[in-house]
Formats: sequence, C-alpha cells, structure tokens
Amino acid sequence: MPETTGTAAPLIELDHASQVFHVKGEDLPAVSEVSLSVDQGEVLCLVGESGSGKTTTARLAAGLAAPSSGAVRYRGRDLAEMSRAERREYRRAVQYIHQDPYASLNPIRSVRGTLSIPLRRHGLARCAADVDARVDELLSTVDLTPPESYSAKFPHQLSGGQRQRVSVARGLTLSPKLLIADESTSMLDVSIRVSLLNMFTRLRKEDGVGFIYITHDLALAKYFAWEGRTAVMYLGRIVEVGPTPQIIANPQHPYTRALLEAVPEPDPELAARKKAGGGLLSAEIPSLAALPTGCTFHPRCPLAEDRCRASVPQLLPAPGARQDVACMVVTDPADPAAPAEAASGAGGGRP
Amino acid sequence: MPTSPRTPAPAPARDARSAPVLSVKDLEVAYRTGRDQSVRALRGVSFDLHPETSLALVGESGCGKTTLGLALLRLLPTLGEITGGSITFTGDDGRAREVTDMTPAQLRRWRWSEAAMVFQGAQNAFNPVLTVGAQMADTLRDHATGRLGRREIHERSAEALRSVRLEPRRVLGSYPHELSGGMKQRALIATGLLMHPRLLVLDEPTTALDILTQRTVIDLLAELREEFGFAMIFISHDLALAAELADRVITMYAGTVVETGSTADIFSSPRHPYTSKLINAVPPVSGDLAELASIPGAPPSLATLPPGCAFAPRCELATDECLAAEPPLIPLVERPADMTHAAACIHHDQVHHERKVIARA
Amino acid sequence: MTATSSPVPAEQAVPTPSRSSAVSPLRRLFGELTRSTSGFVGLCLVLAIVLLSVVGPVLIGTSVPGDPARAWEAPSARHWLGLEGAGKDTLHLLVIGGRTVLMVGFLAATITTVIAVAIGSLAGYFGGRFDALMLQLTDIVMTVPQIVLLAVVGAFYKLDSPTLLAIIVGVLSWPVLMRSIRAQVLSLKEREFVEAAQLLDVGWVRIVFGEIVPNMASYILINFIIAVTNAIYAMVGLYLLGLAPQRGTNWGIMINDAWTKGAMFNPDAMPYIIAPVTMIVLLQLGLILLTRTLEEILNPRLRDR
Repeated sequence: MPETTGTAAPLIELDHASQVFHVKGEDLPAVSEVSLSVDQGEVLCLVGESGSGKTTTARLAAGLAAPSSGAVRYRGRDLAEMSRAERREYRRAVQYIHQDPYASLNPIRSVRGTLSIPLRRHGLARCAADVDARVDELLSTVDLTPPESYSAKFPHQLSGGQRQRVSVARGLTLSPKLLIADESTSMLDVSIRVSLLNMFTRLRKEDGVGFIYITHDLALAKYFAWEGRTAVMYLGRIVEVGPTPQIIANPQHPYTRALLEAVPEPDPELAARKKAGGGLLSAEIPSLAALPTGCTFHPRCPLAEDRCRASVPQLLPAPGARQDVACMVVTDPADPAAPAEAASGAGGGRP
Repeated sequence: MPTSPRTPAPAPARDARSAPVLSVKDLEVAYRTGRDQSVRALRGVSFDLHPETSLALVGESGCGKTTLGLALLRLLPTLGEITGGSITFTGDDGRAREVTDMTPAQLRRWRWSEAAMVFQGAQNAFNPVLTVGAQMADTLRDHATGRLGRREIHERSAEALRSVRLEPRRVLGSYPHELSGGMKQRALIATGLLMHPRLLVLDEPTTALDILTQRTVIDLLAELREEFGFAMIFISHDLALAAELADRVITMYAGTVVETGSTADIFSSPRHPYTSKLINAVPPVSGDLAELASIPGAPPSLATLPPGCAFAPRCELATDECLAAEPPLIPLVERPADMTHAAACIHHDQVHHERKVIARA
Repeated sequence: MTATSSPVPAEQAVPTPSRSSAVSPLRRLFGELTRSTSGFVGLCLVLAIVLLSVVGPVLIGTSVPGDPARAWEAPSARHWLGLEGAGKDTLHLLVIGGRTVLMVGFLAATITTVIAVAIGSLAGYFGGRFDALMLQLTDIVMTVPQIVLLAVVGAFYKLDSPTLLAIIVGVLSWPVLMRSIRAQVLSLKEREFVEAAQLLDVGWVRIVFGEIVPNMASYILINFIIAVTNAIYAMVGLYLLGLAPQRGTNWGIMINDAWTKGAMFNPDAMPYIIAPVTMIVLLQLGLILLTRTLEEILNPRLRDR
C-alpha cells in the first residue's frame, strides 16, 4: 500500500498483517489486514483511540508478537523465517519504548545498571571504563546532564520525565535503526512530552533513526510527523493514511475529522469553535468482540449510508487528495452532487 | 478583547453584593518531611472565585496545583497541614464560613453538599469491589443532612447519572471495571454533582483519557456548568483544557501564584515567562506548524527554593534583580470581578509571546 | 515516596524530602532496623542465640565432663542450670547444643529456597510443558509424608548425620514456596521492564535471575526465614519422637533425653527440660519477629506508615 521509497526493501514492513487474540473463547481481531512501511530516517504516526489496534500494530512491528496472518518484514526478510543471526540483527535494529515510565524500568536497578546490561551482553563495551563512557554518552544524548548525577540513581529517585528519558536511553544502547515509541496514554507533563519529541526529531535527523510514534492526539502527530506520514486506525484497521500535512489540513475520513475536531486547542478563540463531541453520533467505541457489520465505523459516522452496513470499505486513494482512505462515501460518492467538499468543510478548523 | 461564545466573561453588571463563593487569602500549606522538618508546599496563595465562573490552575507537576485543590476542601493527606491564611466559603444562604476553622463534623456536612471534588485518575477513584450505585449511595448517606430513604437515594443517583448523559439502569448496578474510561470519568463527575454543590474542584479531569473521550468530558462540563450554575476549579497541566473551559487562569509555580488573569488575557498576552512557555509547549492542531519548546530544567524542590524568583534558574530574562527578592504579583490590566491580569515578574514587559512558525499549512 | 490513603498520587501531592541530608549509612541501617520495636527485639534474640551457639563452644570446648554420681543435681552457683542424668553441666550442653539445630535449620532452608526459586521462576517464566511437569512434581512431593519417610529412612539406613537430615527436610519442603514463586513470576513477567529486557535480547538467564528474581528478594528472604523455623520444628520433632539418631548433643536430643529418662518427674531436673525448650521457643520467636522488620524495610508500601 504505502509506496516504498527507492528500490531496496524498507526497514520494516507490515504486509496485510492481522492479529487475533483469543480471550475467553472469543476471537478479538485486534489488528486486521494492516499494511505499512517505514524506512530509515522516516517517521510514521499511528493515531487512534484505545482499542484502535495502534499499540498491537506497533508490537507486531517490534516483534513482540507474531501476526496471526500476513507478514512482518525487516529489510525484506520475514520475521517468521529469520535465522538466529538475522533475528539478532533485527532485535538490535528495532527497539520499542514503552509508554509507562513507571513500569518499564526495573525498580531494583540503577540507571547505570539498566544501561550497562545490554551494552555488555552485546559486547558493545568491554571493560568498566568503556561502559561508563558509553553510559555517559547515552545519558547526554537524552539530555540527562550532567550524566554523573543520574547514573547512580534508582528509578524511584527520578521524575516521570527523567524515567522516560532513561527508558529512551536504554532503547538507544544498541544503536537501533528504528524506534517505536508508544505514548498512547501519556500522563507526562506537556513540556516533558515536547522535549522528548524534540529529542526524537534530533535523533531522526542526525542519526537517521526511523520512528513509529503512537499517540491518540493528532496535534502531536502533526508536530512530530510533519515530514512523514500519519496512519489513522479504527478498530484494528487503517482508515486513512498519507502525508501528515494532508491528513491534518485536508482530512477525508469522517473519523479523522472527528479526531481533529476533538483535539483541545491552546487558544480560547479556536476552542470556542470546536464542534460538540467531534461531530460523532456516539462517544463509545464498539467492542472488538461484537464488531459492527460492514464498515465498523458506521454506527458513529455522521455520513453513514445503507451500503456502509453491508460491505467493508477498502483503503483507496481519495479523489482530489494525496492520501488513501477507507470510506466508500468519500472514495466512491454515490451521489455526485456531494463529493469531498462536504468532507473538507468540517476539517482542520481553518481553510 | 473578543470573548468566545462558550467562555463568557462574567457580566460586570453582576450584583456587586454577590460575594465570591470562595475567597482564599494568603493560604500556606506545609508538608511534614521528617520529625521536625517540613516544606512549604503553598506560599501565600490568594484569589477569589465568583459564583458560576470557572478557574483553571495550571503548572507542571510539583508546582502545588493538586495541593491547593486538596487544601481548599481540607482533604490534604495526613502529612500536610494548613499553616496560615484563610479560606472563606459563601453558601447559597449568603453566609460566609471559614473553612480552615470547620470541625470534622462540619466538614463532613459541607463537603459534597456544598463543595465537591472529582479526583484524578478515573481508573482508580472508584472502589473496584463495589458497584457504582453503592458508592454513590455511600456518598449521599455520608454527607446528606437528615436520613435518606432507599428510594430517594436511588432517584438522586439516577438523576445525577442522567445529568452526565449516562443511563442509570446500566451504570448503577455496574462495577467500575465494567465501564469504559470515559464512562467512569462521567460517573465520577456525577458523584461530585450528587448534592448540587456550589463549587466543584476537578483534578486533571481529562488526563489519561482518549482524545474523543476528552472532548465529551469537556463538552459535558461546559454544559453542566450552564445547567447547574456551579463554580468550577480545575487543575490541569494541559493549557489547552484551560483554553476550552476556563473563564480565568492561575499559573502556579513552586507553590505560589505567578500569574492570574482572564483566559483571553492569559492566552493572548501572557506576562510571566513561565506561562508563556507553558502555552508554547502545547501543540495546536490547526494552522501552521509552530515550533514547540520545552521548558529547560525542572521545577525546583520545595525544600530548597532558589533565592529570589523561583523561576529565575530556568528563565532567559533573569537578571541579578530577579535573584534579589521574590517578585510580588504586579497588577497589569484592571478588570472587574477579580479578573485583573497580574504577573509576578519584574520583566513582564519583556515577555513577547509568539509561536515560531516552522512550516506553513 | 510516601504512601497515603488519599486517592491522590502521593508523588505529586507530597514533595519528596531532599536527599541531601547527610546521614551515615550505618545510622540509616540502625534507623531501619529499629523501625519496628518487636522486629528489633527479634533481631537481637536471633543474633544472641547464633552468637552463643557459634562462639560459645569455641570458648568452652565441646567435651562435657560427666560425673554420674551427681546426676540430676539442682542448680547451684557453679552449675547455673544444674546437672543432667549423666552428671553433665546443663548450661554447657545448652551452649554446644545449638549449633546442630541452627545448621540443620539454615541448611534445610537454603536447600528448600534454592530449589523453590530455581524451579518456580523457570516454570513461571517458560510455562508450557516444563511448567506442567514441575507442577506434577510438586503434587507428588507434597503427598510424601515427611515424618514417615524419615522414620523409614531412619529404620533402613543409618541416619546418623544431621546434614543428611537437613537435606531430606530441605528436599521435601520446597513445593509450597515454589508455587508462590511461580505465581509471582507469572505476574512479574508481564511487567514492561521484562519486555524491555527481552527486546534488548539479553538472554533468558539474565531476564529470569537478573531482572525478575531480584524483585522478589524480600519475599524470598522472608520465606527463607520461615523455612528455617519450619525446618527447626521438623528436626526437633524428629528427635523428640526418637526417629533421628541420638548422637551428639543438641536441643532436640536434650528434650528427648529428658523425656526418656523420666526427668519430668524430678523437680530438680526441671531446668534440663525447660532450658532447651526455652532456647527453641526464643529462637523461633526471634526469627518470626525478625520477618516483621524485614517486611517493613523491604516493602516500600509498608515503609512509610
């Protein structure tokens, strides 16, 4: 689906990957037929509510789970068919940063201990002096300076933002090519979140690290992935994907528009213009155990038509826009009098 | 100053005699940290809150917002103590009462019936082993004056749930884990509103909620305020929430007020560098792509405050003068109904608030 | 961090006290140990008994001269606790009789804990067939009656070394601890820091014994002490019933000896019975009280009450 740049295989690629969880005898399709790719130095944002499958998708890309069907490929090699050595190379190249800095650090280990284990294990530091030098370097990279005042600390002595930085530093120990950062329900202060994003951008531009960033806030996606792409997910499917500026300024899918409407604006004048409830018919996301028929978004969709209940829409190029969208009403308007204009009117807040 | 339709500035014509719901004067709170050590968590906080207005307390974690919210309802943890100042509450009857002097029995009657709090963390604020209905009934029984019959309790709980757009039949008998995060947050707000308080304090009401759920909670609070006419204080680290819901903003730093003013004033021309930086850390979704800057460093430990202005170590405008003495709140723009714009910064005229545009939309 | 009953995250509400206050580590340790008075009493009791039993025999020697003519002599200034049935000094026997008890207790507990932690954490971490097999094994081991087995072993073989006794007790008593360790690992392995270690490909040995097990250190330590008390009771019980060889000197043998020689009915011989019983009770009491302090020191949730 998303065009791969150049001829070489992309860094990471999900090819019609699906993940079905079996819970209490029920099949929960957490991710259905997701295809996406990210190359070195690229950034992709996965946006959606909790339950949209964005975290599961990221975990598939990170090799933390194997897809029930479809494939996940690293440089063109299917993860499931990798040799031990290839797997090790993949493991070093792709790292995942957990969203909860309070749970992702081992409480019994100092910062130095946390960072030195992977360094030693992978032979990246031979002696204590090497380890110290590398730990200091990593801590400086994540703006924990001066490093000496942090390396001996334990997680409970650090603030949430500092823990998150240590967590990122640990992800960087093996010099990865792709970082997957999950901030879908971040409780961190706004300022801390911004400084992390600025740090990520620096890593991307200076070291060519690719990023998959997971959030529920399109304002963050806009800021972080302006030069990259954004994929909006709903109940396990990508409903809209394309260059971020396009998604933000000219959203096509009614769900994307609702997400944009919902973002609180740091400006009282703009805030007053927001539409109640993001223009959705219902605030509650349906359960994966009882998915609506056809387009799973139809019960909440202000544009829903009869055919939306009948068949699942395919991800297709939106007419007059540069992104792909999975909405028949947009891609195949039955009534030629009501094309994408109805869509763009509500989006973005500004023309 | 253009005012938005949803955040009406209180009409200056409001009866001058209508006393503030809450009048806080020089409030001081200390936390005990050792046998004979304590830190000053709040230092000389003063503000008035007028009926039917909403106030946002903003700042980073550890700046004293939550402490202030808890202190207002005398809900401080055991180690915390109000060491000075006064909190005067004026009820519907127009009688002013001193909250700091209330006995435990008076507090119990006052809380929830006249002033309620919605705690942070919808996920944990309910007891997981009791149904929502049972917990609402407990609140009613504990705080209502006189005995309530089962029927009445049920009716009042159901009414409160309906007011937050929840279906009582479904929610009353449910356990907290059976509800989604947004439903739990709304049920919490309903619990706060059970006895139609005059004042509602909300601690981070939308943190950790999905963006669409956040939107419904924001809309709901705006509607409820019109419907019930309570005064609202909400605590948030997200300035966008203040822009959405508040008539007035107080920025807190290191346990004290550094800027106060109407929402329109604060967002269009913040006069304290801290407020300006806080606003610039929030990404706007509309318009051009603006650069976001984080605030370097971290809030100071309350135990070891820097000399002079507590924000000076993180401020590029800081001069020797800032280190000499802690600046007082300087009134800048006089406005009625305690909306005066004031900032505790001697360089307030040098704060030029603008977003740096990186790319055009 | 401070734990309060308020629904507000304590970290935000209560500023953490500055860590700059320089307290010497020794004073801090003392402060920690005296946090719970009963726990400190327990610690003192255990230390005193261990010291007496380990250093005592070195100072006064392990051979006790006996004069059968002075059997069951009442306490006197020379013999504080009187003499026993063979005319030996009861106090002297008491001092040298603790070593075996402590050795068996700690050795058995060590064996139990090592087996339980190793099998429990591996079974919990890997799950699957290994886990099922190990659970079967615990079922089998748990059904073996210790006392009966020891009686049988004692009857067929010469069960003459306390070490062997300790090994048998240790090898038979791990299943309960193993199951609770396994349950804890099942929940710990879902924590994100474990996943982070998996992502860094540090290997399962590191993950299980470097990341997961240390998080249970306090639990393991407390269970180790409980295992010590259990092993001591098992051992003393065996001696009392005469199922273990009556060789050498220890508190269990002293009780059995007093029992079989009818010291019960001799008022002058009372110290000979009461002394070892008291020592065992004090040791057990000390160990149990000690777990209280350990729990408070090691469990951060109890720490700031």
